Amino acid sequence: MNIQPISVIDLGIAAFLVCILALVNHRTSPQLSKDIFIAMIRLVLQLSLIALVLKYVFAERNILLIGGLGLVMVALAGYEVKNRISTGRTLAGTFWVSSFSMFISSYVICIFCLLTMIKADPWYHPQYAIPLLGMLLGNTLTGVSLSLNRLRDSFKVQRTLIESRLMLGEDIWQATLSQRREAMTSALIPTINSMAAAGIVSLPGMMTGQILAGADPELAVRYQIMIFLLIAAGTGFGTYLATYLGSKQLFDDRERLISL
Amino acid sequence: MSLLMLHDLCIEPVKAITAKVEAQQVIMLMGSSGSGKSRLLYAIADLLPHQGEVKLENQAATTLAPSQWRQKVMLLPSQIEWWYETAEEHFFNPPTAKELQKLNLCLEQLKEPIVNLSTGQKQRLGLLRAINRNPTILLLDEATANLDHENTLAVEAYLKEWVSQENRAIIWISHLPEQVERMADYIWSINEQALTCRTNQEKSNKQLL
Repeated sequence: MNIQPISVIDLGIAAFLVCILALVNHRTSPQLSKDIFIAMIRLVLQLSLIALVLKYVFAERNILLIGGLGLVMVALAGYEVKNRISTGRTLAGTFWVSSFSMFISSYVICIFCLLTMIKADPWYHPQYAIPLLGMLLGNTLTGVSLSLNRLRDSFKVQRTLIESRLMLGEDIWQATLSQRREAMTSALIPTINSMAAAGIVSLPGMMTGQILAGADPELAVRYQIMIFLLIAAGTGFGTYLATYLGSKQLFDDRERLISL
Repeated sequence: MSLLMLHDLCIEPVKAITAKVEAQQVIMLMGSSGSGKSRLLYAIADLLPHQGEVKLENQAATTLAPSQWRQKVMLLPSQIEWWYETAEEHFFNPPTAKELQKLNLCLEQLKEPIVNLSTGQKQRLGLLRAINRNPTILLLDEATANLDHENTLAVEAYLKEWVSQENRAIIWISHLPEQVERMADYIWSINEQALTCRTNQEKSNKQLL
């Protein structure tokens, strides 16, 4: 099987469709059409840039370079989470809470997978390490950002309730149990839903990409299952850590809710 | 040694407060709205950042875990919150019918969905919930605000009995002069950014008779 090449003009045609969408939306919601346009430009620029970086990293195959690129990706993800939090004032710690949670969960799971399942030579082969880390981070980012947002919202709305529980002598973990449970649930539902819908309602992107690129469907499906399971684990543990650290962050040293 | 000691406690807008509470005393706290009464209770429960020190049985608040301190020095706010379906689930040891009876409540109300209860019933159940967690000091912020006269007297009698046992004390914010007279051993009032303390003439006269 050989791959049909795609030219820049082909991409232009696809972009034209999105431009029409932005235009149609312009009258009802200028802000939305502006957002669509900016997102499209970002997509093209970021992916073109990463193509150059990947070409270089693939050629070098240097473990420090791969690890370093991973760290840059984590930092960008942490920055993204911080920006997506809409409730209350910006807290200096949010970047660190989210970056640390994503770093731990995605690095540990990625390295574990490379060593025990993929077993490439060398184990950190960028062809596997970078896409794997990228997919883990992307999904963990969504989970962490959903959970931190939800946590902020409920801490703000249910402030008097949480304080009432503190007054009765409960510690911050007892007093925020239901808020943390809700945050975890809302963060993991997209992952659970996409696992449940895979193959029936939707064809997962990675598998589809591999098949488009000429891979054997059976192998592509195996890869997809592995990735899904890793994403579920990575998102789950990352979100768990972020919910824990994010809750702690909203109390001061004497376990009082800080003002949001 | 006093049961509870406030040493140079500073909360806006009140200047440094130094005061003490002995075991089995009821302190009634008065002052115009905005004078800082509620904030004072929040500071004593360590729920408000403050300067100065609060000690219970000679132990400073900062030497205990915040949750331990608040279990011993428990604040009951005027607005009671519930987070489970029924009142019963909020209790470690649900109260007996006999105990409920003292506050004109019954077992059915304990198992009723919270939303079906009246404000007054919820306030009395909130008091029982706090006492159920075995505090040493109760800080009451208008504990009878939603109650009719009969139930107000029931709560007062219940709290008098409670405070007379063991090492216990109450600091109680109230706007009702009759209630202050009925309950107070000492009256604390916040006037012009300072706390003054006096004995309750009415009650001590009665005791002399």
